[in-house]
Amino acid sequence: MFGAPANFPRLTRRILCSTLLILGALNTTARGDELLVFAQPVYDVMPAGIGPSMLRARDLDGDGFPDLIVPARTRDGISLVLRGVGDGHFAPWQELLVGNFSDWAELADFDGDSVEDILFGVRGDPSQLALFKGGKGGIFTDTAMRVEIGRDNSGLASGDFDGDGDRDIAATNYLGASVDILSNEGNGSFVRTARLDVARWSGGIAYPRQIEPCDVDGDKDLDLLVVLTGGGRLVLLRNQGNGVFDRSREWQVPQIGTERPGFASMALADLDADGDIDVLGSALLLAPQQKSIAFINDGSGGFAQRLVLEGTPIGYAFSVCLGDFDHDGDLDAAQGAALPGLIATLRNNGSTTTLNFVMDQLLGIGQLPRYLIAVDVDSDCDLDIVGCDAASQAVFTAINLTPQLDGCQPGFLAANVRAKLKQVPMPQMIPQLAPSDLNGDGTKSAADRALELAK
Amino acid sequence: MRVLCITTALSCASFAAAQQCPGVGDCREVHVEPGCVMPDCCALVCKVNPLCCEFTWDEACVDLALELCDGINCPAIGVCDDSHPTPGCNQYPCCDFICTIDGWCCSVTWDATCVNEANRLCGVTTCAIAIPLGAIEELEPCYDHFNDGCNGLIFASRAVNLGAVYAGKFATDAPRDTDWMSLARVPAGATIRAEIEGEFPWEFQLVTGSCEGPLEVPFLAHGGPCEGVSLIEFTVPSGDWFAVITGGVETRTFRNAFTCDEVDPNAPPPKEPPPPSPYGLRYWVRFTEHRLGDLDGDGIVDARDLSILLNAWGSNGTIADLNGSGSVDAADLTILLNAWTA
Repeated sequence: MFGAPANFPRLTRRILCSTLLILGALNTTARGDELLVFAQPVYDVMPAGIGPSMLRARDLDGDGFPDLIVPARTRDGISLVLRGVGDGHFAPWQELLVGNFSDWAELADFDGDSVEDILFGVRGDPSQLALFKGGKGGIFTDTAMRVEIGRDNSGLASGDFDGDGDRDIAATNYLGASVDILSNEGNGSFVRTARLDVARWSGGIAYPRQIEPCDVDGDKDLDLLVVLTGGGRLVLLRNQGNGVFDRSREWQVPQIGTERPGFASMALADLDADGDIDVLGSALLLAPQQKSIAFINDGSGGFAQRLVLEGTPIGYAFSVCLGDFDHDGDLDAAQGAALPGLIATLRNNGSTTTLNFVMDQLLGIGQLPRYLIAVDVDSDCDLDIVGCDAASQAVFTAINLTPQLDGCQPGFLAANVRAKLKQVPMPQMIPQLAPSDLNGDGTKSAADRALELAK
Repeated sequence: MRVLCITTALSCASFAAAQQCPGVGDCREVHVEPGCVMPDCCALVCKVNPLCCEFTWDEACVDLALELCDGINCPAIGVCDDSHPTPGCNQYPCCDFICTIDGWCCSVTWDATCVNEANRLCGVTTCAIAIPLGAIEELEPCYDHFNDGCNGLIFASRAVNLGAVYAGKFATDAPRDTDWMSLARVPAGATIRAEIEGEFPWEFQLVTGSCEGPLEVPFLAHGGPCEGVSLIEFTVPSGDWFAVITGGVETRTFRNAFTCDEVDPNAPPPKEPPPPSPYGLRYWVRFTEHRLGDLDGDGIVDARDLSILLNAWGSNGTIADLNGSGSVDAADLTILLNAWTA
């Protein structure tokens, strides 16, 4: 199931809605009580000065291994396409001049020629969409199409929002505290149709960072979910069905102990196997123990139920991805934390309809795993973890060694390998000064630390 | 000055060169003419390199400008009421104020949003409003946050009574002030009319829900400083509803520049206090239940409303046009008499 190249898009961190509903339906009686085991990460250092900020995986050259599209932060305005080698490493392939820092890319057929293109969100002055046309063999060429978008883009979401058959765009304005909706003219050119405020009521600055499309309320159109890193909130922008979105509805990250966590990243999935899409977020706390937050969808797009789940025992939780790492029919997670850079593998040992994460392994990586995806990089039928660390200017891969319980042969003899794994000593917290009040809400809190890391 | 010139020939030359400021041309771009458009930046650069103000603004001058002029942005090349790719604009007060409330305009580009803000906010002089007698003060110093709803550490709002006048202040000291007024005492389903007047560009938000969520802002209205009393009508369904008054225009809410004019006894003033707000900070608001025919908003339909209608007889586009026909006529009179409560 997971080996077919055409399925790679579904296996990325975002794991779009339809795929996850299938996963939810595949719950079996075989419950995973085997530990999740991953090899220590291998690294591919980017060319000098290029800090990867996000990843998209797709088998672009048809060799059976996923390749990576890598939006990046570089003075030269270059983002990358890397070729998957099949052993967890990625080799340099294409450099794309997008013009400035990019923190997000969408991969889809934007110009209607049935070949996938890359649309980069370009930060800075001014923020733009930059379209690179897909061609034979996975080669991308600059169309020179640039569309100005709002104040400092940090995230994009693509989908047919207005039901006219082409891929439209939603773009976050990180400094503008709003979301731009851009309609595709059918040929890969875009016209802004709306600018939607988020957290207009807030005394602080919302900083919308990540946006994802999904039919949250089950009415067959694509709604939008947004992470407000400055506001520590999850936002729903409900599609009226024609690409017109309602005003934002917002839910706060629940208080944990005495803290309101920072909220930098989310992953979407049907976490409780009830047929609708829920949200798993990384909950960044100033206290050492980090957490995950599950926003449970009530089926109509309400997220009143929020569950506090396990996270990394140290560092600052920042990124998250979901995947059935042991093929037991439920979704496990990986959480990336900064300072020190870590990935915690979180095994879901709940029932088919309840969530409970247990941390199985801590993997040390650079400084800040800014973005994580779950993808089978070595075609051995299980999901590996790939991430990027802009500060270390590297892409890293942790190969999955976990015995697979259902319908998937293990690519490695995990039991044997596990016995040989060295016990990784618990890393030490890296002392940090108290954060500044970056969101202007009058307090110095975990949300400010999340904003610091998101810079 | 004479002493300065005697001290060293260089400082004398520097001073003389800086006297040529401002010049023309962008300080961050090479141009043939000496000097550049930002007076402070030009002076700083020419004090270090007098040639920049005597001959031409070359690459060395640009390098110095980039090094020395961080934070100096106004005035700049480009008119304030037209978008241009460079930051800042040519009118100092407007450029300075817009860049204070919207840093993007001076750090990145003077885009359409900056233009909109300039058109909306520049050139307005400070004004004062008359607070109606008997107004209930919010009793929240503008450096504090007693009624900031979901923006406070603990939720707090002021419950409003229909007919009462409430007065308050807005300021942008972090977090910016948002005055939350609970509409819990308002009958569900009633049509409410809010009268509001402010000394600053105000924003009226109708907020519903709980801080934990879902929280929504289904309605916004705006008004300018001392524009007179604005009327806002809305219906409050059941549930938790709040009227929130803060500062903002259609494109953005304000987060700085509206400096509190009261001294916080628990926080010593900064060594370099921010400039005072270019606008006044006061506002007042009154909520009344709106009944058809109640033209003066006092809650009853009586002779005073009749008088208003008769005075508007034959006119169009007034509140006395109760059936929206375009003119005030016998049909409106019939409606008013049917609603008579006095």
